[in-house]
Amino acid sequence: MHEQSTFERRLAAGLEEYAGPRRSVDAAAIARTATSRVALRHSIPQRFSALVAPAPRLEWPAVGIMALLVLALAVGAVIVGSQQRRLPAVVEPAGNGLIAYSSGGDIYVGDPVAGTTTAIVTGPATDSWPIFSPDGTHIAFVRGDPWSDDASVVVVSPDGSDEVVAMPAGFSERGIGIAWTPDSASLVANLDTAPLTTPSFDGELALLDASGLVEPRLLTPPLPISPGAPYFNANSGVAPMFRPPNGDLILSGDYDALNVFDADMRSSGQLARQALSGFEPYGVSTPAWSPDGSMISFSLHRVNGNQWVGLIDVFVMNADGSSLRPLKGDISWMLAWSPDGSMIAAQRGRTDREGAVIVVIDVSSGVVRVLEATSVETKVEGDWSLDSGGSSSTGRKWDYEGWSWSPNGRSIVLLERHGTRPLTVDVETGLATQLPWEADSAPSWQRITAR
Amino acid sequence: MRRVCVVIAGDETIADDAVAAAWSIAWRKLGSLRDPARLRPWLVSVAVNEARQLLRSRRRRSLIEVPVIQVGEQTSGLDPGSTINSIDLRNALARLDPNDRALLAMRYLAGFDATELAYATGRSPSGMRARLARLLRRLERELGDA
Repeated sequence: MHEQSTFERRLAAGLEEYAGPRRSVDAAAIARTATSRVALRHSIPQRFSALVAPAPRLEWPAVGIMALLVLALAVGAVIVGSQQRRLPAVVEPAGNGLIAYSSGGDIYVGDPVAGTTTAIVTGPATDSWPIFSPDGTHIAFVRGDPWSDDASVVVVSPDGSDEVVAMPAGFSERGIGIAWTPDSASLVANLDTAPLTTPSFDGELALLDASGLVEPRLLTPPLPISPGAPYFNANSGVAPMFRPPNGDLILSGDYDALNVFDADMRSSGQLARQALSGFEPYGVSTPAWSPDGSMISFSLHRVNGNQWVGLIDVFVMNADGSSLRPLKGDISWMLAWSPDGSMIAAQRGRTDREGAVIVVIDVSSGVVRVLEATSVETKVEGDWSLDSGGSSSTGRKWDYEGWSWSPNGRSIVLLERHGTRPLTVDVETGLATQLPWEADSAPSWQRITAR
Repeated sequence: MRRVCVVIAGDETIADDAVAAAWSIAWRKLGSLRDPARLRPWLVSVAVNEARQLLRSRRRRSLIEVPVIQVGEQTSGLDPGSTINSIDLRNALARLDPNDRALLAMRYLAGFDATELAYATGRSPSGMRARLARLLRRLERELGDA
C-alpha cells in the first residue's frame, strides 16, 4: 500500500494503545505443521461468506426432505405450467395488471382501472418496498427497517398468501435493496455498506431463493465490490445485470472494467476494454442488459485514485461490446430500459433549481423527450452530507421515491414522496394521471398476459 | 490476533473467546491451508470471523455493544500530538460497523497490505483499497482535529 499519511500514523498509534499489549506467537512453527495435512474443505472466501450469511446449516435429513420437496414442486410446476397461458418472457412488453405498494407498514395491491385497493399483508410488522416478480405471480417486500440489520425479505402471492422468508433478518448488516432475477426464481439483495445513500446500493450482493428453500448466498465475491459503484438502483424491479430471460450472463462494473461472469460465477472476460481505454482512469457502474439481451447500457465515471469524481456519460453498446456510443442525454445513472428495448428512461437534473425530471431517449436515434409532468424538487430529511467518495450521512436526499415503466411500455409510473398519490405519465402524450390511493413506496406494476 | 479482535469487539472477553475459537478451528483445519505463506492472514481472518460472529450473537441477546465513553472518563493517553485521543477513537470505533473495525485492525494492527486484506476477506485488492480510503476519510473527518 501507499506510504502512510500523518493521520494514518496517528490512527495506528491510537489503535495500538486501544488494543492493549502485544503477545508473541510462534507462527513459523505453525506454518511447518500446516504442510503436513492435505484436505481442502473451505477456501477463505467461502468461509467468510458463510459467516456473513448466518442462516442455519441444513442437516442431511433435512436436505433430503428439502430435495424431495423441490422435486415435488418442480413436477407440480411443470404440470401447472403446461396448463396455463404463459406470460411473455421479460424480453417483450406485457399487459398492465395490479400495482403493488406499501402504506403505513402494510402491503397493498391496487387496480388502477377500477381504482380499488386491497390490503394483502397487514399486522404489527413494518412491511415496505413490494415488487412484483417478472412473471407476475409473486410479490417480494422488505419486512422491518430497510436501513437496518433487522430487515428481512418476504415473498407472498399477489393475494398475500403463501408467505415465505427468502432472507432472514440479520443477514444484512445495514440496509438492503431488492430486485428479482429475470426468471422470477430468485431475488438479488444489495446489502448496503454505506448508510442512507441516494437510492442506490453499493455493497455486497446476495442471491435469495424466492421459494425460501435454499439459504441465501453471497455473489460478492466472486463478483467484485467497488464502493461507490452500485449494481442497480432502486427503480430496478428486475436485477438488470442478469441477462434476460435466464440470467445466464452477469454484468459487473468495477474501477477499470466492465466484466462478464457466467452463471457459475466464473469470469468470462471484459467488454469494450479497447473502446473504453481512451477514458482511463474510469469506473463502471449500473450495467444493464436490454430486455432482449442484445444490448448493454452502463454508466462511466471519472475516478481519481479510489474516488468517483463524476459521471462521464451513460453508454450503450451491442452485447459483444461493439458499437459503443454515449447516450448524450445529460442524464444521471438512474435509468431503465423500456419493455420493448427501444427506449431508455432516465433522470435528468433540473437547471432552474435542485430537482429532477424523467426523460425518455430513443436508443436508435438518440432523440430525447422530456416528460415535464414528472418534474420534482429534491427533498432532504435528516442530517445529509456528501463527501467526494460517497455518503456518510445519517439523513436522506432524494428526488423520487421510485419510478418504473408500465409493463406495456406506454407510461412511466412514479411516486415523488411517501404518503402521496402515485402518478402515471403517458410517454407519447406526456399527460399525467393521479392514482386514487396514497403510497409510501414506489409502485410496482404486475405484468400480465397482453390482451 | 487478540488485539485485532479487541478492536472489532471492543470487549476483551469476546476477544479472548474469539481467539480461543480461532485456535480450535485452526488446529482442526490447518491442513486445508494450501499456501503456508498465507498462514498469518488466514489465522487472523479466522479470528476476525469468530469475533464478528460472537459480537453478532451477543448483540442479538442485547448483552453488549462496543461502549461509547462519555467525556470525563478519559483513559491514559500518549503524547496528544502523536496519537488520537483515546476517547474519541473508542467512540469513533463504536460508531463503525464490525466489518470496518475489522478492516482497520487488520490493516493497522496486523499490518496487512491490500493483497492480504483481499485474501482475508475474499474481496478484490482494489475494493479493499477503496473501502479503506473511504473509511479513513470518514475517520479523519471525525478525528482529524481531535
